[in-house]
Amino acid sequence: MLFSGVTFLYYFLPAALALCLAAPRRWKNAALLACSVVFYAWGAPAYLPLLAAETLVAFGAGLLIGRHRGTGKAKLFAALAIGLLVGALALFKYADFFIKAVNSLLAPGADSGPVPLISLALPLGISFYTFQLLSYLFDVYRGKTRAQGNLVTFAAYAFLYAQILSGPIVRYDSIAGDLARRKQTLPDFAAGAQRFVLGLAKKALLANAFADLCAAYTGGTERSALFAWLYIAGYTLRIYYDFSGYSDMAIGLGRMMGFRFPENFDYPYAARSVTEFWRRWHMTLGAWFRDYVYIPLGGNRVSPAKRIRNILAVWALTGLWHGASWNFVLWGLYFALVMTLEKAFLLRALKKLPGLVSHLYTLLVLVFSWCLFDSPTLAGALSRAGELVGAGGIAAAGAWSRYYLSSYAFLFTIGILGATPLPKRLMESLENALARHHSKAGAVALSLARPAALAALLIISSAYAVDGSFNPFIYFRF
Amino acid sequence: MEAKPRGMNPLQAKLTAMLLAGVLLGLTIANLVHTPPEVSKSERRRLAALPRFASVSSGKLRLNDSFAEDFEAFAQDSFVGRDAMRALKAYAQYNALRLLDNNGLYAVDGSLARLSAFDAASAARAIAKINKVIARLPDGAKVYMAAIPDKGHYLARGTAYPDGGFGALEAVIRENLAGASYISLGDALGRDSYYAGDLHWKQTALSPVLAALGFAMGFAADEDFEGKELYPFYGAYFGQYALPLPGETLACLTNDALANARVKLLDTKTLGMIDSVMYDESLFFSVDPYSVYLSGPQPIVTIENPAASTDRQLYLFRDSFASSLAPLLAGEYAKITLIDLRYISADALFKLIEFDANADALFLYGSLILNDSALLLVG
Repeated sequence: MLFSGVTFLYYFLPAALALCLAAPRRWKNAALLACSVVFYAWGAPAYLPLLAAETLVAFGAGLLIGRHRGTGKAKLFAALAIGLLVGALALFKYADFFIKAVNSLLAPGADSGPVPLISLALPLGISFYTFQLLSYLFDVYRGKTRAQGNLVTFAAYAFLYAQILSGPIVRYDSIAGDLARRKQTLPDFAAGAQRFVLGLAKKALLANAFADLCAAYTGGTERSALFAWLYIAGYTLRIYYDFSGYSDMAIGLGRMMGFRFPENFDYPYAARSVTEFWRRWHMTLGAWFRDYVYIPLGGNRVSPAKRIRNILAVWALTGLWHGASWNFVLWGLYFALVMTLEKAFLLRALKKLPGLVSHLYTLLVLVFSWCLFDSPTLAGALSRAGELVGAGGIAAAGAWSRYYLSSYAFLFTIGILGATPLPKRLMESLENALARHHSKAGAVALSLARPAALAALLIISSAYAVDGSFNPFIYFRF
Repeated sequence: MEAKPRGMNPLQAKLTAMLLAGVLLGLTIANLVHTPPEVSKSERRRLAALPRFASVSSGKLRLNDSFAEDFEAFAQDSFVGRDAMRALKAYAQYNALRLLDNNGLYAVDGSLARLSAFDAASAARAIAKINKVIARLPDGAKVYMAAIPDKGHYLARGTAYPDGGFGALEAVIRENLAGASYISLGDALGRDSYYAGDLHWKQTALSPVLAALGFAMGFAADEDFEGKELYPFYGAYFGQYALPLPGETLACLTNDALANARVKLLDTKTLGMIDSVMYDESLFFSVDPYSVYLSGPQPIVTIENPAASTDRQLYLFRDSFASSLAPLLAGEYAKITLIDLRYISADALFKLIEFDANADALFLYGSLILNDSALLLVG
């Protein structure tokens, strides 16, 4: 069920909100769990038992680890449960990838190898919920959080519909308090609804429009440098508005129900280095790898050689987390290389350069990374990257690229400006200016303008949902 | 953090919560209580119905695997005020986001066209299929082909829109067509030759087309027609465009000679020919009003005109454009057989019809059909 679809907006959401808000305090988690089960089963009923089994494993292991904390048994239970969760993720997401790798070693060049593929469908949200359950087990084992003794409460966390499919990756300890006793207030509901509508508009109005541009390029016959640049610029904005829009909706939904989810984006394209970009992009995933992989491996406090090893490990895993293909592995290693260079000397050099130059450097690195990210094969990625520089004697522009440049000029302007803090600052300045006047009319206008604008955005986004084609969020496939 | 909302004052919070919850709840309740239509006249299609969650087959309960997708299609199609929502989206697309098309549809001076990328491979396949049919026609038949430019070919001139590659299409035809003479209609038409809200040409604008065909095929077309006008005509693009446009007038041209012509259609059940009419005005109020001409999509239609100026026969391999053209040719041919290879396969056709070796054959197709060769049922 897509957050931006009619089924979610006008069937599921009103019913779920009504149930979760109206439920008595002691039934709130049960109501939330019931809604979440329906939400997950709607799109992937076949994988509901898997999610339930993993939840039971994590719940049971958490109790056992908590009971035996500090002993070898705790370590054993943690290792077993983590092994099971990682094993399930490996089986469903990576088994065929590794089988293909083995086959290519055993029978190089052959279409099929001696080991048959498993061909399992990828359960929705498995990368996200597995990482959440793993963080819970790690934290209980380390004594950072107490094991949850109530299965319904724990399952409400594991199944939480607001973010199960595409994050943010919410660690148990960050919402343990909200699960136990959450306040549902009108200001929180309003703030959450505002955030949800802004995220919905990002997806419905911007991300999907840029997706159409990308589809026109990949499905079209024109090959020109201009079209390649339009595609990659469109993809750069599409993935940002798609994923950050989803995160906004998830955070908004959580807040409407009394949860405070962690932030996931902080104007990543405003970064002046790739290192800074990754502090602003998919922040909950970055923090997860930092806390559960990089730091346990020694982090920065090791020899330079081990530090490089740690960076390589984190980025290879980050790449693999996004998808079971060599493209994603290379995508991760590409960032490992860039960030190693930045740590070695580039960051110091970038700080001395004008802001515009460091922005351009960062964007160029990202643009080439998205070529790798969005191509089904490495050859395809190289071909697309080549088109950006006119390789292969392709034309500079054609009729279709000129058309899309004209058509999308305004949307690119909105998209680029919207990816910076500028609109937010402008809105704040405007509201401050109105507030300074202390006039009654100004105060009323101020109070009315934002809700009216949000209602208009909700209705317009709904119109796009009614007249739209199926346009899933990019991160659903991870 | 980026979209994290700035704090609201208490009145703003109340209004925001009330307005957004009101929109969600209000539209939800409206959706639940309203009865959606089964057919969208503006979109010319049957709307998705509420899917079944499960069905019983051979005593076994079977879950509907595509229930979630089917339900979303139903939720979209049955949305209260669907046409108004589509109009709102179109307005936002053109005016707020400043995009030049909506779902591939664009308007130039109030006339609508669809973006269409020329597919050279598909065009070559279409011509190969036509060549196969030509090869099965009897020796001696004079064979011609003409391609009808998509309206976008004219509308796009002087604008940012791509023109659909009609010039490239003609080059592919000239290079690949075997056993037929190609007649170019590019100069015989213009943007005003087509309905503003439809992809089709106007019957009243076909004199230059008749002249071009007549020059190549050796006839002088009758130009003495009088018209009956049907109003308001809302074309296929009109509904897809979603924004308001004025209705147009659909003309049905006739004269004394045509009035006595006999029209027959293939009955696909009995494979016999049944009586029909040149202009079926009852279809003006159907989902596709252009079906007024020769009853719209039909595999085989014949027009026999005892008052024709010759006793020649014409086999007209065609798409929907020819429905409005064929009546105007009936003065020149004693019998015209219209064949739509989208609805009858070439193999079935040659079993059904014995072709006259002295007849003319004209392959007349719109560029959109030639760009989508899979539509032609030629093996």
